[in-house]
Amino acid sequence: MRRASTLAFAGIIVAHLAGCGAAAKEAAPEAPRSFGPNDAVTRTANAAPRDREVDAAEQAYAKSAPASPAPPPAGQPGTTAGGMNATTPATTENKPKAEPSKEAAPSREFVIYTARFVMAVYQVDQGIAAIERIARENGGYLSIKKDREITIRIPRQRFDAAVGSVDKIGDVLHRDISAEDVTDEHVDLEIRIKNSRAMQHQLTALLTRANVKEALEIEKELHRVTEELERLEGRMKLLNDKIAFSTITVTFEPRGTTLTTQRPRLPFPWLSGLNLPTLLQLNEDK
Amino acid sequence: MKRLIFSALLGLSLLACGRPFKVSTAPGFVPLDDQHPYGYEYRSTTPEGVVVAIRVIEEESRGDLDFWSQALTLQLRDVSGYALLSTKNVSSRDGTHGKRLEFGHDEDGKPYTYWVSVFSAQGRLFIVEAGGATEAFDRSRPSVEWMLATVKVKCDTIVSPVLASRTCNRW
Repeated sequence: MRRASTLAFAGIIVAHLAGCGAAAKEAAPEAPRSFGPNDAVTRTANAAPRDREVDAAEQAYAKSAPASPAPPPAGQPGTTAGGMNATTPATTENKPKAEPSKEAAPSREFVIYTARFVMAVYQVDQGIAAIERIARENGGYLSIKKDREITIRIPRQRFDAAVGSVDKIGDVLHRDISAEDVTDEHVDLEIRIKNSRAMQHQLTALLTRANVKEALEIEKELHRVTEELERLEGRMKLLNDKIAFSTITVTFEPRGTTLTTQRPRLPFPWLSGLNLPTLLQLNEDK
Repeated sequence: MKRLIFSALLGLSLLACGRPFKVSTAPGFVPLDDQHPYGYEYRSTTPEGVVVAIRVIEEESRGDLDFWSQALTLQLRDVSGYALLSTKNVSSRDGTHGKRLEFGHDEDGKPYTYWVSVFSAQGRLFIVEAGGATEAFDRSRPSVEWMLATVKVKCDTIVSPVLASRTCNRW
């Protein structure tokens, strides 16, 4: 009996230790995952096949590049190189344990927030003016203004506050808030830009030692790469702008068009006769 | 004797005919004649065009007050884009429970107020509407509220005039 209880105790200890081990094993890969930029690196590897030819050029360029390029400023969006550096195990170990919330932030870094409101048609002018005021108060700006529709851009950090303020302006018939994760697209663009730059540098270097015939070919290629780079940089700028400034659109209109097709028609014709114009259209039969 | 009783009953039943409600027109309002062709049992207006009107939907005992107020809200707010500013529980002068939906809506860029009250009694629906340009409506608001408070659903029984129909709609 005593032997059995000793065995059971030993079993519990072993199971406990095994459990700890399993937990430790599971926890280990979690730590680097909490870094947004690390994720980006993983995704970059997946995105690479499209740029295989450019990657080759990049590798060639990397050999001739300075050994330790200066890191880009911290917190600047679209700085993969810095992100890559941040994922080194040394950095992970040095991070205090209390920082997971801070680490979780980068995963929200490449998200485009958009809100669309449909409001009842009452005091539209005042409503539009109030929304413009919300944009100003939150450090945003007016994007588009029409008779019954307004679009404002708000710094991402003030998005929630601005949405809360818009909610209080009038009778909200419909609200549609979306968060689009564009991390994949962002990382893909970063890599493509990096590779294009590498190719551009390599071609420029080749141009200095090429003969006339080769120079013509290289220049043609250089022109193509430069064009591609400009296009990619333009896309990146646009994407960064969409990430940095959330878009809020408010439309003052009935939901009628969608609602009447979606909801069952009630068999009470008098209901549709209820409206202000009918009430105020005064006639008298003598 | 039988003839006398019959005549009395006939007289009482005739008294019960006509509008199935009573309403007093406030000073400053003028009642309009024969509003039947326009779907109203009663309609009155101020010189500024603030209008109070009553519709009666006959033989409509289906649905309770919540059903009708929700149907009205869906129709006016969601389908027509009226802003629902407030909802109030109200009672007519005879004690019939009802609901008042207070809407706002822009007409030609100008804000208008539109109140719709609904009462369900005697197998009928009573829709009491009041509306006008918000500026004018706010000026006439005390009169409008007074008129709405005078609305009284008549009892649809032959003895109602005798009992003055003070309590029948509370049953």
